[in-house]
Amino acid sequence: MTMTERTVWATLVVFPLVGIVYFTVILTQAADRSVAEISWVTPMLWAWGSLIVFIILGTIASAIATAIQAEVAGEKAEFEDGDERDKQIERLGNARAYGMSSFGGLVATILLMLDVDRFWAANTLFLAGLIAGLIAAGSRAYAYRKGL
Amino acid sequence: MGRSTKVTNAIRALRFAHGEMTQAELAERIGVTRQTVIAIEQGRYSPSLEMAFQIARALEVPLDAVFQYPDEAA
Repeated sequence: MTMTERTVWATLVVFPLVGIVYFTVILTQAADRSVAEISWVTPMLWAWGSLIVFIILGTIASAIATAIQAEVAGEKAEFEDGDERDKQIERLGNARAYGMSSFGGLVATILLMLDVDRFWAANTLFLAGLIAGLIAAGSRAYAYRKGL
Repeated sequence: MGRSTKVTNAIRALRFAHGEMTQAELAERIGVTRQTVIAIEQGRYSPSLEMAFQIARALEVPLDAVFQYPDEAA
């Protein structure tokens, strides 16, 4: 497994975890107050920050795992940005995620046009971003395992 | 997705015929990761035409000795 592929798997673990924690916090608040009173800005900032930090940590862990695996196998570790196949797989993931991102943006725009609480637009975008990230990472992981 | 290519290859046999060249050595010669060579050998990835020529050159054989495409009638 190359470092690029390991980073994809790290994304597949981190995105659902952060999403579950964030929406648990939000839905817990929603149980006893109106949407307008839910404190979502700080949890969302924490969620975005956590995503960035965990992906960086996942990449570092991937690099360490790649180095250890190469050392054990007596080979040279491959830390490059990826070759032609990696780039094709990345493009495939991005193309599949694009539809979800666009859909999320469209729904959020419509919600703002309807003048609903900004909570809905922001969280629609956040959820669409998480799902798009998962679609991208899932497509890439599948392509690495099963082929393009 | 999944395996959609009909292209087959004889890279593994040619590597052994070419001084038992390892996947890592071939990967280094053509400038890709070993995982990509593994994926090509297993038919999970069809390389670009340029990479296909590089592989043939590294193995010192013509392109059609490395990659084959089955006859539609077959």
